[in-house]
Amino acid sequence: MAKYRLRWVVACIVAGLALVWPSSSFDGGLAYAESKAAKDNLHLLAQLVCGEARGEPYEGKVAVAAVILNRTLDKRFPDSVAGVVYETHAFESVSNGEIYRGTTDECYKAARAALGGWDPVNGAVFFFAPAKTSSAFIWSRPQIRTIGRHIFAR
Amino acid sequence: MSTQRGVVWPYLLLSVALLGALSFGWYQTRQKNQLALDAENKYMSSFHKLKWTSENMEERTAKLMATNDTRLQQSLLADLRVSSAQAVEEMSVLPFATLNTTGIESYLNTLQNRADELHDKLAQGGSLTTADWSQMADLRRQSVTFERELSSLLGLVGTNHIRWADTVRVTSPAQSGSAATPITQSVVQMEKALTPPPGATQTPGPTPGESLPAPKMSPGARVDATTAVKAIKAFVDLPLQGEPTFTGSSDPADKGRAFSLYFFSAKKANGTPLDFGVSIHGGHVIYMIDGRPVRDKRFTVSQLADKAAQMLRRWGYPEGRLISTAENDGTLILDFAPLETGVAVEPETIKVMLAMDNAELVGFDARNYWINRHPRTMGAPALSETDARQRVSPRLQLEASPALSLVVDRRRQERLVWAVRGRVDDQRFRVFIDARTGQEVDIQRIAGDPAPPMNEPRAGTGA
Repeated sequence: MAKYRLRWVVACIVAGLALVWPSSSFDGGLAYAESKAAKDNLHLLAQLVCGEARGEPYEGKVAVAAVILNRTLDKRFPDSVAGVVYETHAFESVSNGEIYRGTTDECYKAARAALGGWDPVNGAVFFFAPAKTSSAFIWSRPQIRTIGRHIFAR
Repeated sequence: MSTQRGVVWPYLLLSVALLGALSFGWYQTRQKNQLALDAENKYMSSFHKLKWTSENMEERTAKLMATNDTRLQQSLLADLRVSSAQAVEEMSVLPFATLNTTGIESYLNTLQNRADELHDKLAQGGSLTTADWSQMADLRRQSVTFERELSSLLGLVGTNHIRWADTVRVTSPAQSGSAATPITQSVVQMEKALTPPPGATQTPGPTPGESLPAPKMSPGARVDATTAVKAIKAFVDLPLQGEPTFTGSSDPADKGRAFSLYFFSAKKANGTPLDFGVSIHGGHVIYMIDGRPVRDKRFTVSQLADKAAQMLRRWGYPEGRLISTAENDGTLILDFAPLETGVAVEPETIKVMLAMDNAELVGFDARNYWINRHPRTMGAPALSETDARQRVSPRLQLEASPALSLVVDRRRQERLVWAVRGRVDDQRFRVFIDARTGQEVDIQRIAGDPAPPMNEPRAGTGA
């Protein structure tokens, strides 16, 4: 009898933990990132490049940074890098926190190249991974080119 | 008895563990809820700011229609320009990115563009025409509609029965259904209401392709990919490992009326990847990117400037004036403006990026040159160099003799100017004085590295 009670109590504890355990924890990365970004566009750009184009070729990283800068010049989008990056639902890596996972030297270099004026995607303001995207809107945009796993469009 | 005691201890331990787990879970859940509330507050704050800017736009357009004073008109137009830009910023925070808001975007863009144009017109001594007033009246009607629709939405949001979290969920790109909330329905309603009135001319928002400039004159005859590969081989200053690989093309059929390009990847002999863009018309290398990390600095700015000038000559570009340099992560970006009858044509600036460790070419961009190149009549400056010196601020300490340049002003008009380089305290500037009118056209701050590393001293600029 005592054995059954013990099992019941253990089962209750496990169930209780499963119910109340938070699905994700927040480590304060956002505030840290924002304070850095406020000082310089470079850091936020590099973070987004790593978040969106980790594992992509260098040119693909420069292209992602160029898209952000092209958006700041397009009146449909906010004027600032922070405004573009944090536009709600605009970037998956911002929505899922991938942007805060660590920034490599190559991402910084790519962000610097884009800030220096390099744009391998000829003025593109959209990019997407075809394998993951079913949005009719994004597929309707005129495509400029493909780099790695991303299609760039305007 | 001893058996009973042995049973009690595990129960006690498990109870303590349960209490600990519950309190930990309660704490974490409370934090999570706080974050959700913070997010709700962020959306609410942006919504109220958007509402406030819409009220400003409505009020300013109303006053604009009522005033006859040019200075007041200028002031109201300047406010409208700022408020419409602010509204775009606030809209971007709200979860509307996946909704069709082209009408709202078009209204805000048109208001911003027209306010800017009319403000400039008044600043140049002009006055508003009947057509201008007619368009402003249309924009005024749209401002009233926009403000009224936002007021209705405020009525919903202000009752505290609607939370933004639901709208964030249904507008997420991951959602594929046609789920709607009162907020999304309200935005759809606003979109319908903002349709321009019949007969009104409304500048649409930038449409695909329009924002990309096309070359002003043909860069040459159409070439195939094989010719483009030859152009790459003639361009690079080091031998390549194998043949460049074709990776795609942009607008090969010239449908977009922009700059059509072939794209190639290649490898240097040491295995470093390189990427190229070659114009389909003319077969010119338009850009090159090399992501090699550069650690050391062994070459000076003047040595690298000489090397870049030699390269430009070898590639067949006209003689240019070095107008700025910037250190960028161990590389040096050098901007050369081609000279035409002694005038530096800055809209055609060519960028050359050299590694500071071995002076190797690691980047090149001649897009501006091939897009903006066209025959020009420069004309003679009405203002002498001495006059230009006298026109600049007495606080500006000149660092070099004024030089003639062709620049593009913020209205996208090319103007012949005297470029005057100088400093105020530790800040360095290039001041552009119109060589015909003597008006100060623009001022450019020389910031050095476009993105300096944090906690490191800023690199200086040459030239």
